[in-house]
Amino acid sequence: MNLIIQDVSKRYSRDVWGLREFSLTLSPGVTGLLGPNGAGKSTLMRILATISKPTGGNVIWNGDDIVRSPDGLRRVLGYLPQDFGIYPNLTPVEFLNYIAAAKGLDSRTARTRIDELLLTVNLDGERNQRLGGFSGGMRQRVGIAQALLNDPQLLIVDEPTAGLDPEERVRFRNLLSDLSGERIVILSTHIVSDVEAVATNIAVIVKGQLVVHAGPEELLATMRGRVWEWVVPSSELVAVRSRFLVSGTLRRTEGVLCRLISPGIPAPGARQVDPSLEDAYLHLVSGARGEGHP
Amino acid sequence: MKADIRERTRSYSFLVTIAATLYLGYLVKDGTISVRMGNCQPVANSAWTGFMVAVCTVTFVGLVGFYIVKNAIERDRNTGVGQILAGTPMSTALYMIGKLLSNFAVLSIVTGIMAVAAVLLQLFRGRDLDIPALVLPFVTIALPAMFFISGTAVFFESVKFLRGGFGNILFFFAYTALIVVPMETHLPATDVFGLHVAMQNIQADVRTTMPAYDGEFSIGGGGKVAANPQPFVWRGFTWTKETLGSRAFPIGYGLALALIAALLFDRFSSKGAAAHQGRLKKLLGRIGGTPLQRLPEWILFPFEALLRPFVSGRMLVAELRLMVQGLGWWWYIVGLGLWIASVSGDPVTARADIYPFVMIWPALLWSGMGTREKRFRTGSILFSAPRPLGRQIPATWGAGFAVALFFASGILLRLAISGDTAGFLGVAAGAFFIPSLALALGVWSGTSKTFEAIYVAFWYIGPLHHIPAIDFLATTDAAVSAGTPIAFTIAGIVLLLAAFGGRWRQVTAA
Repeated sequence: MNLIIQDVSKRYSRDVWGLREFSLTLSPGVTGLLGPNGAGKSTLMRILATISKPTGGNVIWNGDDIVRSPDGLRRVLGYLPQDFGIYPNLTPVEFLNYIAAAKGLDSRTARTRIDELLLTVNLDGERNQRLGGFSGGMRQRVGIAQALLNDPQLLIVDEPTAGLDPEERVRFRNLLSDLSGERIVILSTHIVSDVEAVATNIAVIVKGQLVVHAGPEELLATMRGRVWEWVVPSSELVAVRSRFLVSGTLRRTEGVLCRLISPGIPAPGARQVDPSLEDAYLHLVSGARGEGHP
Repeated sequence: MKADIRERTRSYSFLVTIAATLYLGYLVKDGTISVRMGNCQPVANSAWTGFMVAVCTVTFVGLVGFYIVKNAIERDRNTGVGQILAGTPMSTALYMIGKLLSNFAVLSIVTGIMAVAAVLLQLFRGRDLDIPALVLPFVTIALPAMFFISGTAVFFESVKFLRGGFGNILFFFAYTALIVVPMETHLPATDVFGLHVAMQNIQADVRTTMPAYDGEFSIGGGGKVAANPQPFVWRGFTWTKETLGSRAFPIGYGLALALIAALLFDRFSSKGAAAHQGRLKKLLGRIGGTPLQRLPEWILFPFEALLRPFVSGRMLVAELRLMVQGLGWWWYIVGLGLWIASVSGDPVTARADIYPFVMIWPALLWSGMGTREKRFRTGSILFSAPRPLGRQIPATWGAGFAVALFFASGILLRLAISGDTAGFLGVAAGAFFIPSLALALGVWSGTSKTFEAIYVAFWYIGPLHHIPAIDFLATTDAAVSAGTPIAFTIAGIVLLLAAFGGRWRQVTAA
């Protein structure tokens, strides 16, 4: 089972690109697709979900081009879009039944599956309430449930934890880990901690182009010896930000504790610390944007 | 407001309205639309051309424009901007006046384009060009009417039961009444479109030059040409204090409607939202008590999904359920009452006089067809499912056809029993045509308003007034003899293909 993205581009107009010669090969596991807002993550997700066509390149699912014959992928696809709606007058059971029918599931399978999914997303108690009264987080869980209806081999989730409370967020991460065994899961987000918790490999996208595709350990290794903590007076914070890439700040009585990225010791008194994925991500994005930090 | 107007004037529906209005202007030039006043033949000078194009603008944009601008508050509601505005110190009255002016600006742009078109029309004809005389009818007749329509749209959006499809259908009848009532009552206060004051003004001028003029005045297409036409040069409106003052009525009404709307408006909060908060609180309390745990592996069983290749009975039932979602018990009671009326009493009367009302009742069910994916933003989920064309579109159409068949079944049964095969097929053709029209208009326009406006207009002219050529419900034998069911069956097939084409475009063209 593999998904090959070959030089995929999406050009909206002469100078506006959503994606530019993006290539990536995915095999079973959770791939965290990280990138800032407007980087092209949702554009890529929509192409992979067969609801948008690339203007260049190919997407191959198990040997089949999904642009030419999308139904092969659609049969085994679970897709949670970033921006989706529900029918407010239906209950979760009725809504999932409708989507199951649209996906072509027979009624017996659909019934069992819907019961399982409502338990999984913690909505069994609300199964007969109308969706119109649901909060954003509850609607998101209905969205997660619909994506899993057909036991997908390719699961694409675009910003899935938006609107979820911390507890549900942890439940969802666990669910993704459980599901990832024999399927390809693509988790698109700009929240590094979501990716850190579950991703087996990480792809960083900036301005529609792939910046890096590597395992979390490899990304952390690239940052070893480059992350520092340094207490600076508040008045010098602006100057420090202009010289270094600051990945975090914390107010202290003696000044501001800055977490920053620098190839060497930034100043006497600075202390080297273990890198995090957030440091690696910020460093990569900053480099791809050409922001000129060391 | 500037951004709001910019967004609205870039919409597809706005461009279609401009195109259709310009086409009407062309029909004026062509002579297809004209005024009949006995044997009087108006000379197409600047004043007359301005009057004709302004009248076309008022009658067409007065109806269509309402549906175009009746989304100003809805958009704030849907985008969540309304919630932000509700939290600011801006008064509701000010908000409503802002929406009124925004609507008026959009409709004024259409009116302005028509005025420019009238100028060009006069230039192309190589006739005299007196710009003040040509533009004056737009200022005095069309713009006050547009102000009234703008206020009406704000009012309809603010009253809960007028906000949706019911309001759209009701407006059609209100519009018809607003044209007819001043002609019958001769009261300036009822003449919001200014057609009556214009007619009186012109009639007075005709009488001055042609004392034998009998007062005939009708605007429309075609008709017989007078036997002995006499040229009539109209110099433009003679405004008195009274006639000009009468044009203040629509402006006052528009403003009043917007201010009444401010009193009735829920300011983006509702009882439903309060009830939701209550339910949510209860629910969050329960979720909070759930121990955080790793999900057991067994909850989701892996399975090989056996997918049905094409539309299934289940999909049809699911579409039907979606179609009738949220309907109150009273809807079913009235629907059943109408159906019973269609199988009671004299068969000819039931078919001619009751059946049209039976088939207007489910209009709001049909109007949602093909639009729900856009309205509720479920398109990306549904279009990424296998066979979105082969499975979903036939099911949606099938659900609409099932509704049409149910409501037509009383009349169909009676025609079958009486052995009237032609009548039976005629009525069945109507049941085929309606869902095809709804689905095609829904898929291509993305809004239920298009079907609501077009269907009601068709229904009003055809089945209700028994005009055989447009009587798609075949309410009389005359319609069947005229071959109308055949024409509408062909139209239904074309529309169904158009619906497939439109959905194919939605699924593949992104």
